[in-house]
Amino acid sequence: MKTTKLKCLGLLIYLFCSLTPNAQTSKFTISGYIKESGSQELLLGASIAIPALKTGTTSNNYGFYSLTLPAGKYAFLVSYIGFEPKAFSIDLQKNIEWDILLQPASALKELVVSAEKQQARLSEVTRMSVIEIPIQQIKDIPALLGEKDVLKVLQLLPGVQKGGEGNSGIYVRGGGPDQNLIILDDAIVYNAFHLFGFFSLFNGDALKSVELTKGGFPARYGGRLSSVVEMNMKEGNKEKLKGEAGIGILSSRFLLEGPIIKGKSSFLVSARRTYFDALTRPFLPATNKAGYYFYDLNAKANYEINNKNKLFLSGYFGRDNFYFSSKYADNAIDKGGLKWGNVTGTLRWNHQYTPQIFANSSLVFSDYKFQLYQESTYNGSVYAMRYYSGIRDYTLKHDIDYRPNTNHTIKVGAQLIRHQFVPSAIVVKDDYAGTNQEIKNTIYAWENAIYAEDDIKIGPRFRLNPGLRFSHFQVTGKNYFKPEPRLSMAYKVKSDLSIKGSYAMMNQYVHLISNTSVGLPTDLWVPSTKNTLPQTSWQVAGGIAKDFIEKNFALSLEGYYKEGSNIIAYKEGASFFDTDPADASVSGTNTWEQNITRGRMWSYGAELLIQKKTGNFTGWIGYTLSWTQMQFNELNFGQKFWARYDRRHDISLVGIYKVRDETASHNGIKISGTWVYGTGNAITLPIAEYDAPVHQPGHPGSNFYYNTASQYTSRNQFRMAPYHRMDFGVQVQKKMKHWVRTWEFSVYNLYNRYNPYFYYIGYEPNSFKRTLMQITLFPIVPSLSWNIKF
Amino acid sequence: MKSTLNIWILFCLIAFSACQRVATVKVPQTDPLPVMFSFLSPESEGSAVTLTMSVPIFGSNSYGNFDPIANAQVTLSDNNGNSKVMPYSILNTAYYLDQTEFKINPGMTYTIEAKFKEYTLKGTTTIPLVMVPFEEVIGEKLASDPNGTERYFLKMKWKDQASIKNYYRVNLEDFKSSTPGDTNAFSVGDKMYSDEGKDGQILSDKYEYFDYSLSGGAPSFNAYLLNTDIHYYEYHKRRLNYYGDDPFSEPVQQYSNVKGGLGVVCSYRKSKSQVLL
Repeated sequence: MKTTKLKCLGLLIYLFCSLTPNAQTSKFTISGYIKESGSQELLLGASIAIPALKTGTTSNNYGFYSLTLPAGKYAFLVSYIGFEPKAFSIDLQKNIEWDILLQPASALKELVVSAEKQQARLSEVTRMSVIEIPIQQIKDIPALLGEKDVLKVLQLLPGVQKGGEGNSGIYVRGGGPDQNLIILDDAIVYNAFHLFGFFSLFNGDALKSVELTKGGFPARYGGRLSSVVEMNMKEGNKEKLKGEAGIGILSSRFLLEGPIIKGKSSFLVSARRTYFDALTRPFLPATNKAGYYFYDLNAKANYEINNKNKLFLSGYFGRDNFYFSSKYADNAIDKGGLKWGNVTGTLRWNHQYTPQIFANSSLVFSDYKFQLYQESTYNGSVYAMRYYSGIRDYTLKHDIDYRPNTNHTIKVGAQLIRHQFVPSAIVVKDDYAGTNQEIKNTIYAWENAIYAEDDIKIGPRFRLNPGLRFSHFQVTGKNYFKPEPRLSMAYKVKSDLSIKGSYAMMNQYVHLISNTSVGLPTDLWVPSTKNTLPQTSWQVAGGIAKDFIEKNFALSLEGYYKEGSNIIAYKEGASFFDTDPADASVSGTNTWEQNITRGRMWSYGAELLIQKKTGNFTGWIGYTLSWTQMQFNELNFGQKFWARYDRRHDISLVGIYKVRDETASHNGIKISGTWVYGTGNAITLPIAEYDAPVHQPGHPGSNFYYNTASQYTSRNQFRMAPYHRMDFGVQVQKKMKHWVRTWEFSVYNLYNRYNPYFYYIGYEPNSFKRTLMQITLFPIVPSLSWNIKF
Repeated sequence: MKSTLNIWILFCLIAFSACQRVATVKVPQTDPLPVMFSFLSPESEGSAVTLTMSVPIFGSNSYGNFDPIANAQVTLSDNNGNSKVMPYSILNTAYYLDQTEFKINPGMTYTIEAKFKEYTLKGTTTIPLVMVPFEEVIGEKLASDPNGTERYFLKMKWKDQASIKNYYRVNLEDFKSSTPGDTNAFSVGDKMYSDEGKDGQILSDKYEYFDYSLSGGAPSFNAYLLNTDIHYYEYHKRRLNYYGDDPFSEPVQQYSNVKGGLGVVCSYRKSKSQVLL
């Protein structure tokens, strides 16, 4: 006992001494930013190693790095995926500010990798359950109708399921689509989909990095149970004007970036729009119009005030619009439709307090709204009805990154979010009745948090990342205070092999209630209240990470177990259509609360990822074996049932091969392919019908109205057919006089597999016998797109 | 708003009608099950029980035909030990006992047992003690448009019985009849309520009604307030929201309290108000 106490005291003293800079000998700090040579784009997560000391660090989310070392001469090696490594020596006798510029890797040769020249190895990183996808891979992987989609690429990773055919929603380790925190430049994006979930909002042209965290969440993340998808936009080329444009089957897009003040300030604008409606409009009759389109716009500007201060302003604006109009008489017009969209805006200030302390402050606006509208005009009189729902956030964040020495990377911070929920609102204007009223159900809430975490190196083998997040939610007189402990550990067994473990407790105060499996924009965002408790979860994970340095790929094998409570779902028989705001205004209650119930969730499984990120051939193999179950007292008669997206096996094979680069004399060629396999979704199927009358109080005796109702299997007891599909793509690049032109031909569902999108009851061919029929959404779908880059 | 889903379903079916085929999975099989329904009330003229059989979907060419079972032995009994066999009535298409033959009393518990072939069905209900009337039912005309469509607004309120768990159904019928009786009344509104969180308080409901009939003359309305047992409430809460099978919504298991089969045995108290405009 005495020995144990002494050992603990010794450990505490060691940690304290290791935290204190300049504790014994004189120490100095080399710090600065890691950027891409030419464009001066900041590089996130670049590795700066001191091979002789077997230590180093990585650049943070703003490209900042800091290393505090005893005075002396050091050889540094800086590396980053897709860039040529850079080696340099420095005699550190005082604090030095040193910005590092990396050249994009030459694509003609494989990168020679040795034990010394190495990007941040998977086995050296404390965090587990985190995957970064190089943006170029997102652009290379073949996509439905040629529309490159970040979230669809994430669906190819182990531990991430998709909701259904063509659907961009992600289900991570048993969690539903609302349990993912999707961040674009610090702004939360609530409904990240176009076209009823078929495409995501995120234009890959404008993105610099995409990182998915499935577990082992550091304390700086919170607010959602299952994952964090963090995306950062590019800043824009600070040296010269560059651009890209593309025309595809579904949409066209362009990107323009360039300096505002050379070397100091730059801008980036990127836009995309579908045009099917514009092309078909001339062919529709003048009296009847209908169509659909979506567009989105990303914009960013940044300004480097001085070495210690930078400002960034970025925004996103996107809309989907489903519309119709009909003129049935000279003085009579009907029109209506469904539209939805997001707006985000982020103002960030990077400030370097000292060579070791970096801070970022963000002011963020985020708004999501959908609207269903109908308007009838007759003889100049108007009847108009507009139903809408949405959520709006104002956020203030301050994050500090403190690196006292090579053994500690400390992050602390705070955030305040002011939420404005409008679960339902209705506006009615009726010239006949002389009414013009708006009934709106608005709920205000605060969601706040403070956190602290430290990435600690203990000796050459052991790394620890303990953290604590303290979250608070206040709504209509109710306060929730929740501590969220976090811990990640890594033990290096050998130079290229480590064992990892993690624990995370998460809380979620903002919920998405949905009665459909396709993620319609009519899904409602609602807050926790005194009746609707926050959803909570805890997760443990363990695994190994191995780097195959000679072969240039990495392997990770993880197992996880997750439990969730207060998970919400619609009650049986209730749906979005019950949320009448007029009821709320009369009764003073939230009608959606009466329609939901809460329960529990269990999810566990194992994930294997073998990933190659560099070289002429890149890609990955992913396999997931998992189980996800739920239990609600008010659903399925209180019995446990499989989650709809419970998928026992999930396999992804992704490969991208660069045959050759484009030169003046020949085209560049790149081919890519994916193959996916997944166990079918778990659904509830009708198996019999019976007479189920509705009692009519006004009718005497037994004159009931007879109706047929269905008897079903237990909830989600039936398995759809397995899903599998192969996609293939070819890119041919040619260097033209002023730009590089790329033709891309791709095929979605190459072998034309008839994957079921949904089932319905139909009839056997040439028979009156009923059977189960399926609808396939996408058979083989070829696409062609033309792109230029200048 | 439901039309949004229907539009989407229609879009899928039309756009991808070439991609529909027989599913390649093994479908679940089930045997037919007996189905029993009965809605008991002291305010009704008699007690009726319907018996049918469910029809498996797959491999069947039967659709919507549920022939009544007329040769079962059906017994109605109360918790005082009284019981009576219910004869089959062709007129009512049900097993039927008039109130004069077997009275249904408030607060009593009744059990219906049916036996035929190898099946035995049993369902139990306790009649709500109190009939709850409307405190107020108001109707007013809002507007007429040049097409002749007339708009009416009806609202009603009632006081919940305190300290007891209550369930309610508000049913609205309109009728234009010059003859006595409700023979051409049509249900135009229906909602279920529970007193969860509102025990002993005033509850309310409202309807907006559009009269497209152009026949002139204002409609009249029967407004019914039913104080029901939990079985009536749970069954109708799901039943009234059942619009058929929609592949994009979670299917709703219908409620049943019948042992040995499907269906529901339940009860209610009924009060009625009329609104003449």
